[in-house]
Amino acid sequence: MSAHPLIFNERVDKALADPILKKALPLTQDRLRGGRINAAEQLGNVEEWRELASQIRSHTIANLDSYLEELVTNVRKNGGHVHFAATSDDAVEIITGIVKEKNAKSVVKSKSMVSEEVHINKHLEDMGIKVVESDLGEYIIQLANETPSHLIAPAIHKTREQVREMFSKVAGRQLSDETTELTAFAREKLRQEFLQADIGISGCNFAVAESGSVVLVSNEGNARLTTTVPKVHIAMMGMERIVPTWNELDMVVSMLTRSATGQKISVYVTGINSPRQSEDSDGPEEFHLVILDNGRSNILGTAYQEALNCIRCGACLNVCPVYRHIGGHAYGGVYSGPIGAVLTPLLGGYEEWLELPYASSLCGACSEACPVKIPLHDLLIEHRKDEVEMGLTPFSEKMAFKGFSFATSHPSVYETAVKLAHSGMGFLAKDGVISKGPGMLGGWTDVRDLPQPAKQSFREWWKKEGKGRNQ
Amino acid sequence: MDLKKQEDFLNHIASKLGRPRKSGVKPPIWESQPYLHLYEGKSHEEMIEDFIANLGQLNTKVDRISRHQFAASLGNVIQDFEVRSAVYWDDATLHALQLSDVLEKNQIDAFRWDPKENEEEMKQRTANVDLGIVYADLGLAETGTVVLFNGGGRGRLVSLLPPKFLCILSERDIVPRLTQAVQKVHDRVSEGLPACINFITGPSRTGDIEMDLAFGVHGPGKVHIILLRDE
Repeated sequence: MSAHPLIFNERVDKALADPILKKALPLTQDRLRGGRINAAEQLGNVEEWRELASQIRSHTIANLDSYLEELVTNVRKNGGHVHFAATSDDAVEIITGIVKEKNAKSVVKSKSMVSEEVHINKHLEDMGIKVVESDLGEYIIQLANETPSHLIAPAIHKTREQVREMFSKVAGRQLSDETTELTAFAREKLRQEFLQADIGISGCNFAVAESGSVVLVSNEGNARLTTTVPKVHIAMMGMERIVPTWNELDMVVSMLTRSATGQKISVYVTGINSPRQSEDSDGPEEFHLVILDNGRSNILGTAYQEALNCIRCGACLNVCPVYRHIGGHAYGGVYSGPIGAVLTPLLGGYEEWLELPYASSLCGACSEACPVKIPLHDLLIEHRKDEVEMGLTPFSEKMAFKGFSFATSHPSVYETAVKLAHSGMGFLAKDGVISKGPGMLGGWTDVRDLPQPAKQSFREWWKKEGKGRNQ
Repeated sequence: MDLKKQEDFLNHIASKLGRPRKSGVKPPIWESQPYLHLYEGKSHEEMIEDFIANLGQLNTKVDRISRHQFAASLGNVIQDFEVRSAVYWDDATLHALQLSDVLEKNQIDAFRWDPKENEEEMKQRTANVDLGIVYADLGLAETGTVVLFNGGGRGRLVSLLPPKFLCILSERDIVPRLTQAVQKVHDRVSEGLPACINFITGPSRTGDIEMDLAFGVHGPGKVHIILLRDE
């Protein structure tokens, strides 16, 4: 599932050297994070919301076979078609099969991360099918021949000047870089595509088991067009994206939009419950639901199961200090940020994604922001442990982890080690900072200075000074 | 063949979960109701005010009027939005408001969404008019959302293709929040849901170009609500 030819360190270097990213990433992060924090403050009791949302997600995943069975029974009852795809290849085969059967020439898509996972655009284009992304951000990166760099804002790494150039080329006339002119052009251009398209492919924010519905959350309205105008609608769904009833949908939708952008609700929440019914004269005549595993089942029953609770809001990206510097593409997989660092090695294997669990400072901001309480930074540590146990990490890392677990279980050793760090690194420092660290420290000090540790540790200080203060 | 695939898929999930297959699981009754404090103790009047204020923050005006003021109110919308053509739902409440007469008096080139008409022609026509007019089933106070149960003469393209959107709603149909709306959907599952239910909150928007907010990229960029007083 690698989207990049470069290795991890090269991707990071490339991102760090990119002046556009350097400007765009903090802007996006701060805007979206600020929105989420405001929305949380308005609720007043966000912890209770998180707790309930987390319980709902955990219950659903723990009973996934039952809820999926209920879902597909209802989809069929409503006149839809259901397809199970164990692998990415299966999904491609199913979708290209439908496209061939319908003799379709063009496909219009609304945002779907699952479709990125299976690279459906490439497979369809190889068949000579015209594929058009309709989410404005996705359309921009499709024109640039790139992949999304943020779950919620896929084209944040593109400037308006770049957008103007690409759109002007398509328009055959020079556009200004006013946002309103650029979006007006996109509306006009994409509207033509919608009215001609044979098939619409959407994602699925949540399926509702009790009614066989697919629910889509969007602000632009392209998901509505995709699922209404073409004669055939295919929804691609990760197998965990389901809730038991409409009542549970309330909680996950409320948490999704508040956590993603800070909106109390998105402009459109659309429930697709069946293909068009006999009295209707709009909406697709045919509805297909493709349910994808693609490695997800391997997460069930493991220490990582909670990662499947994810509702793809992007809140963890917006608080991550690592994402802030390297952006989405450096992660290399379809999902970036902390959730990407957790999920990608699980879906794609450690061999290819060895470094991702290290793309984190373990500060824990992600776990605190997560609306469904996935312990993201704990899962990253779990990955590191697993990699060490499987003998996949460099020797120094292995020794560090072994040493750490030995030291933490032997208090005297731990204290000596901490003391050594505080007094022993003095010789490396100049003016209070260490800019050329030895061994494992090198990776850190290559890109930034490390403050010289204080002469004594907090524990030492507490022993000497802290006692007697709280009497 | 397909059923075998399904069984393999679901059995595989059960085995990964380390237990036998389950079927017919129902969710527990969730004791926590973290949303209650958002509306508990509020009067219906306060909720109506919330509804209006929330839409105000989303560039959407709400006219709260008596039914006899409808013609004047619609006339204002037609002027404000510079409307020359419109499509509207085949809906009993809209007919009771004599919508088509008012449109005609304002010299609007208007047509009713009629499932018996040629589908392709109606789609093209709807894509080319200025305004779509519908009557909403519910309004949500906390968010300023309108809820549309589409189907038949209540075509979903009417609220989607035209660049401007007018939604008419009765005060009595304003409920506190999404919680009450999904409960109503849940209650209707056994009798069968319409093909599509829309929750719409303000104008279509995007921030995909440098996080700069812009309206109307796909759906209507201008939205107006006429809220009918209970009398």
